[in-house]
Parts: sequence; structure tokens; C-alpha cells
Amino acid sequence: MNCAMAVRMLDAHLDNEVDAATAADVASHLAGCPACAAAHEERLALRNAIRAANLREGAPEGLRESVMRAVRARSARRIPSRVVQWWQALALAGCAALAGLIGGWWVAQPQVLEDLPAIVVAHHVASLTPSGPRVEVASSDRHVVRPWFQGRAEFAPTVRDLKDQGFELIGARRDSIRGREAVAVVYRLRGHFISVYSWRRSDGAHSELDTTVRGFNVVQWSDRDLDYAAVSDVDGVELKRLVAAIRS
Amino acid sequence: MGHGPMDGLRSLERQRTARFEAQILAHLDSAYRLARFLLRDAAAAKDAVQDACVRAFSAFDQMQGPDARSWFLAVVRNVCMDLLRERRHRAHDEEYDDDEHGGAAGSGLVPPATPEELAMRASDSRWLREAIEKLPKDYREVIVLRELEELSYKEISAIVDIPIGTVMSRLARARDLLQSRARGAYREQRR
Repeated sequence: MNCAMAVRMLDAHLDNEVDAATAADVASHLAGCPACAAAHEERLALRNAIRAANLREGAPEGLRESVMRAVRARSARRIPSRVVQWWQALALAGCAALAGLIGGWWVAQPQVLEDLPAIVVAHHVASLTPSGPRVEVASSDRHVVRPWFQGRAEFAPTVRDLKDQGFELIGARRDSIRGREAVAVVYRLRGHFISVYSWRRSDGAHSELDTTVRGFNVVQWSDRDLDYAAVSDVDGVELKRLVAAIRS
Repeated sequence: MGHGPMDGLRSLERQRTARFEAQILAHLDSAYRLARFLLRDAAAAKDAVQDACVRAFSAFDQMQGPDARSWFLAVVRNVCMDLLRERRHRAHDEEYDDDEHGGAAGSGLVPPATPEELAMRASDSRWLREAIEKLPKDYREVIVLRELEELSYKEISAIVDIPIGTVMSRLARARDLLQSRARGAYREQRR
């Protein structure tokens, strides 16, 4: 191992982030190279200095209590003020079932799924359940939605807070588009659900395109290394407005 | 009050709150330190942590287990980043104008200073705290997560949302900067 390599590995070595073989290589280089050994010494001195300086102050007094007060208040709001009566529940379930039957019949008409718009429309429709769109992380908070994908998907999707433009963030789910891992971020505009799919691009950027499939509008675009497709039964102009807001 | 469905809900909520306290609030000190170093303001850090806790509580059901700490710290960091962005909009933030290009610490080998020089500064923990606070944000956060919270590169990569290789190079740069400043401060003192 030469000096350039040793210097590059110095921090990872210090932080125990290299495998045993590399650690041994670095150690043997340090043993024979005074310059690199001095650099390593300096790193160690800095670490000891930081540890000795005891910068790990705790949270200020009262923070824990005030957090728990806020959390309990939030928790109390999660309990509904009354319970739905059985006949109300039955009526609701009946309506949902009827809507599902009609929608299902229409959607289940045989289709050949060859082009991408048809595929994303099929996925979007499949995600719509009588109780709302299927999401794995349900939150209107983009700070919660995006980190949820850490370690669960090979990339983190773009998630925007577009409440002031009328688009309410509902959540997100993992999906698969043409066998590729994809993520769908779900927004709502006046009762219409919008799925914004993204996935890692395999070939060249696909051209921007908007089209209509079975009454659903689809807008496709590419950005850096991701391909996107937004799909919804919302008005095409509104869908383009959402896409513009996401891309801005 | 009898035993209606509401009692069941209430008891579920109580259990949920208790789980949140055990799994997330266990990391309250780490969260505060991260916010404190990112925002460089104790009062703002308190508010940011409280905000992050309420957000985390709302989404708590979806995130539990061994990654709870990384997830919670990512939520805290996101809240802080929003505050910093807001601040920058309001005024010209002096976030990036400190001497990123200054000092002898380029890439590659740093001219060796004696460990005694560093030990000298080490005795002064206030100096060290300020030196870390003066680092550009990208370097500050990785140093805090690594040296104060002792997190792995993988965890830091998840929290800051950067590749592991970038964690490594930012840490190296952050340490180069701290070392060159320690040397500078030492020489100034001897003058």
C-alpha cells in the first residue's frame, strides 16, 4: 500500500470501517512510513481531544416533559369523539362495495398492457381500495415519508409539500414497474388521488409525454437518473400543474 | 364509564405513547445535540426537537425496531434543514462563507503537527466546540454524528441521505479543517 492509498483509508481505518485485510495493510504501512504515521497520530489526537472535551451535553431540563405533553395532546386527538353506529357502518360498507363493483367491472375489461402509460394506470387503479389508496407509509409529512424508504428501497423518492397549491400528501408505497423497483408517492386533490411513480432509469431518458388511458391522465418525464410517471383521474391541466410543481 | 370501545382505544393510545417514550425519547439527548450543532442556537434546537418528536409520534407505527434511532435523527435533521432554509431565505445566511478554502488542509497529506499542539487546544473544550460550530454544515453534521454519537458510516449515510463514500470523504475533510484550525490557533497564541 502506498501513501496516497493509506491517506485515503486513514479515516475509515480510524473509524473501524474497513475489513480486517485492509486494516492490516494500513497498519503495516503506518509502521514503515513516518509521514503517514504522524498524520494518523494527529487524527487520534483530535479524536481524543473531542472525547476529552465532553461535548455530549444532554437535552435541557424540561424538554422531555414538554415533548411528552405535546405528544399526549396529539395522542388524545387520535381518539375519535364518538363511535360510528352499526347501521351507519353497514350503510357505508354497502356504498363502498357497490362503488367497488362498478369500478371493478369497468377496470377489469381486458386490456393489453404493452405501453408504459397503460401499465402505470393499471398499477394506480389496483392501488385504489374502497378505503382509499394503498400506502405503506401514510403521512402528510414529507419529512416522515422520505426517510421511511431508507433501507427499504434502492433510492429515495422525491416528496414535496404542495399543500398551499392544493395537493395534499397522502403517503407512499413500493411497487414494481416492468419488473423494476418503483416507488409511488400519493397526493390528493379534491378527492382525486394521484400516484407519482418513480424508478431508476435503465435506458435513455424517455421523452416527455402526456396521454390519456381509460379516462386516466398520465404525464411522463425524466429527471437525472429517475424516470417518472404521474397518473390520476384528475383533470389533465391540474395533473400538469402538479408535475410542474414537483419538477420546480 | 363502562367498558365501551372507547376504553379500548384509550388504552391502546396509552400503550403507544409509552412505546414512543421508550423507543424514541430514549434518543432525545442525541436529537438535541444534533439540532444544537446544526442550528447553532439552543432555543431553536429545543423547538426543532419538539417539532420533530410530534412528527415522529404521528408516524411512529410505521417505524420501529433497531433503526428507530437513525430514523428519528433523520426526522430531526430534516426539520433543522427546513429551518436553515427558511433562515437563508429571510437573510443572507453566513452558512457557507467561512473559510472552506482556507487553511493548509488541502486534499492529501496534511503537514504533520505535533500531537502536543492538539492536546494543548484539547484542554480548551470551549475552543473545540466553537471550532466544530464554525465548520460548514456538511462537515459539521458528519463530525457530530460520528464523534459525538459514535454512529457507523452506514447509519450516518442513512440520516444525512448521502452515499457511504461521501460520509468518508466529508469526515476526512472535516478533520483536516479542525486540525489546521487547531494549528492556527496554537501559533496565534504563541505569538
